[in-house]
Amino acid sequence: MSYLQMENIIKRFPGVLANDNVSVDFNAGEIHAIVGENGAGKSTLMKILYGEYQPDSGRILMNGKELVLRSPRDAIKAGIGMVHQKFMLVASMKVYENIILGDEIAKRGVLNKKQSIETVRKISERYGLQVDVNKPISEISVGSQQRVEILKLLYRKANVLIFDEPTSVLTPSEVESLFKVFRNLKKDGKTVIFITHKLEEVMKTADRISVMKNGKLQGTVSKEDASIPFLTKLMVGGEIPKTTPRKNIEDKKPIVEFESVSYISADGVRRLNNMSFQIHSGEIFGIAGVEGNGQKELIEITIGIKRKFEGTIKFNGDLLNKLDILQRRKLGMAYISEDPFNIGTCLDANLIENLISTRYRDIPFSKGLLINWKRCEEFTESQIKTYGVKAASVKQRASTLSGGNLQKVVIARELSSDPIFVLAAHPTKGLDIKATSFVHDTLIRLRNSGKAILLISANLDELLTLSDRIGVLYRGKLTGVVAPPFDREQIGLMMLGKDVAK
Amino acid sequence: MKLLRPIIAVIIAFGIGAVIIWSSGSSPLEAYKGLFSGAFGDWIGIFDSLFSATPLILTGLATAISFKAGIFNIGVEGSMYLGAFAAAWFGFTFDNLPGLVIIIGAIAFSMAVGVLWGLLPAYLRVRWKVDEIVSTIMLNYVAILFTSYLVNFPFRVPNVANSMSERIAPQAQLPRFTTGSQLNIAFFVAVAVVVIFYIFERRSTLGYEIKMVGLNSLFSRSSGIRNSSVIYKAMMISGAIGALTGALLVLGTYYRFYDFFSPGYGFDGIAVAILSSNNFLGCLAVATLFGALRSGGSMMELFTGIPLDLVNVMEGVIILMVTANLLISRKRRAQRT
Ligand SMILES: Nc1ncnc2c1ncn2[C@@H]1O[C@H](COP(=O)(O)OP(=O)(O)OP(=O)(O)O)[C@@H](O)[C@H]1O
Ligand SMILES: [Mg+2]
Repeated sequence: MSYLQMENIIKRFPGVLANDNVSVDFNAGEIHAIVGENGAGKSTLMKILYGEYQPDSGRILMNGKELVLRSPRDAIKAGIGMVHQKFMLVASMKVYENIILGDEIAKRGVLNKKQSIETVRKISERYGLQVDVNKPISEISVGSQQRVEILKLLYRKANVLIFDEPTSVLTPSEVESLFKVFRNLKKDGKTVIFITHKLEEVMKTADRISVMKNGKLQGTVSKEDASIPFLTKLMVGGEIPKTTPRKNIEDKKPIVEFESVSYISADGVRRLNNMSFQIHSGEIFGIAGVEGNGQKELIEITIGIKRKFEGTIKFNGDLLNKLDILQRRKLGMAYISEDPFNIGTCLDANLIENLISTRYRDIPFSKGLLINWKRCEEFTESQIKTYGVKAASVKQRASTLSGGNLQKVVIARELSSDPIFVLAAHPTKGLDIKATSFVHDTLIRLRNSGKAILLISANLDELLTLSDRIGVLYRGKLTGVVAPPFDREQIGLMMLGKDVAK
Repeated sequence: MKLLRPIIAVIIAFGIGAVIIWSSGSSPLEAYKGLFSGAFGDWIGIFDSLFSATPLILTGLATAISFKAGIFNIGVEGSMYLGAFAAAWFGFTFDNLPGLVIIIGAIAFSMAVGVLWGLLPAYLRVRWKVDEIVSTIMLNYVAILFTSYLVNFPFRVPNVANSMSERIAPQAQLPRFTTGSQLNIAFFVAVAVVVIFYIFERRSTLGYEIKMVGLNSLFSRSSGIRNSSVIYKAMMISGAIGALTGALLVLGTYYRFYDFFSPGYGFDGIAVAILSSNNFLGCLAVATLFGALRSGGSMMELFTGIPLDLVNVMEGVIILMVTANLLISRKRRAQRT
């Protein structure tokens, strides 16, 4: 008998059957991966296990005894914890405060700070979860924040740790150390369950793999019996279409020109240092680099969120420096945000409102001061179909979409305006294989039609397959720009600041 | 679902009110009978309820529109005072014009003052990042004391005990419906504003912008919506409607400006906006409920001796319950992915 069982779980949302009679079991001391297309029901299933959603029917057993999980609190009591895709930390509070929040070791009503820090330290050493416990959350990297989330669970003595797409926010080296942590947890007899879209990771780390499709469990296989093509077939039910080949572009002209751009943040740190480069029509210019080396600032300066910087940026020959986001968008710039939850979409608005946010001023979406909602709705319907967003209705809130479908909403909106230049920040984060290949194909077709694309990605493979040239960012500086054939090792070294450009 | 909570809150408020009445030795049944017959018992009662509701409808709308844009504007009271004085000034200064011209002129002038007044906290917030809660509270004092200065010194009517301005021209008084109630055209103006707001929100680009900025300003900004311009516009509208409230009170109820005339209509507007979760039709409903409670409450006091304060307690309970609910659901939202 396995440690934890989910039996005949059914969960219905308005218009969708998110979990369709799913039965799956988890062992103690195993790493269990859950894969499946966007909207297949993975997050829903895990939220049920974490007590966040109640199933319409079905039950959960631990050691053969039924568990009733009315809330995450019940789940934590039963030793089940979850790290969400969107972290739940208090940005202004220190690391250890976040970890012990709501679970303080109190002695006669007084919080024993020393003792709790000591406990945190012990746990972090044991599992290899290095963090600086005295730093505020806002000052540590995304990878460290994730470690804080894990520490939070271990501090509460979790035996089952659920991760919803933990690697989509991490750099390759952070992914490596996360997997090391997974293995330490496993050695300790804990159960690790993680959702992912990256099958290479699954084959490298997981003991068993459960595949979901359209709310149903397609099956659970052990790694020995699995392979990437096998899993893909199970997930997608067919082959992934090949992406469009890249065309040779003859007459390239510069679209975006950065000239000696430097940016100094409010706290006096030089986040971008004398950056000069050009992006041409018919070109995908990739930016490689370890997260936190100036990517965020580069994005914000390019689209116009930050406008106080040194140097000049030109677009089609015009100076961009003084223009705000609206003006830049009107010139033909589009922006696929790195954060679909907070920036790319408005979770509390419906899909129509999310799709027209960049274009509602234009005919036919509005005329004068009045919006023509009927046209907006038709437009949303057609975009959703084109981009394969899985939604029951265009009037549903964006918050009810699955993570990957939310990202598709962002892409559908941004590419709908027929841009000249696309700033694509982590465009395939959280997308399944099919959707990823669709976005890659779309970017290449844009490129082939003479558009310019700035591609910022944490995924080196993505950069290598899509880019015409790659600029490597290190501490706010371009350590070099490389052209194909790309040398993965060389780029890796440049990302660490080594000047090895040929 | 959204309606359920306020309704439950109202029921519980009546329950608590009943306990208080009972424990003070009176019959809750009798008291509520007095309250209801006062509020709805006859045409005059209904008229009085709508009359009491009128300023609350407008201050509710003025507050709700700024809340929708994510601006926690407490300053409607101040714009109402300035608007009231502006209308009164227009009404007693141009007293030889035809009535309709004075009314339109007074309202237009008053709303223009309100627009400018609304710009001030918006500017402080956009340009200097001054928290609008603080600035609007301070500006309320400025507005109230400034109008007080005006009626105590430059525009003081000599030889009366209370500080007040001159009466507006009689032809500019808004017509009443019956002699028995103070209900006047102002109520219909307020309802018209509700309808305009309702349509504006659903159909206009600015309505959409305000909603998006209020829900997620990072999203709206990166989409190319100019957040600060939207904030300016929302605050201008809020100031204008706040001032309109004051103008209509002067033209339809008081016929002059009285020093410190408001029992806190601007602050009641905050409660109305919160209770209706910034829904404009909801503002109309909540304000009407409060209006009925208040006008029925005075009848109750008259006939059963139970003080009008009970109504304040009941309003307080309703507000507390709904805001507590609001806090809980906000916390839930924060916990969700
Ligand atoms: N709160 C909700 N209300 C309505 N529908 C929902 C809700 N949560 C999820 N859904 C729907 O249930 C389906 C499954 O969603 P779920 O988030 O479980 O997918 P997923 O497998 O995690 O996808 P992804 O890989 O994109 O994250 C989707 O169609 C989604 O729109
Ligand atoms: Mg998901």
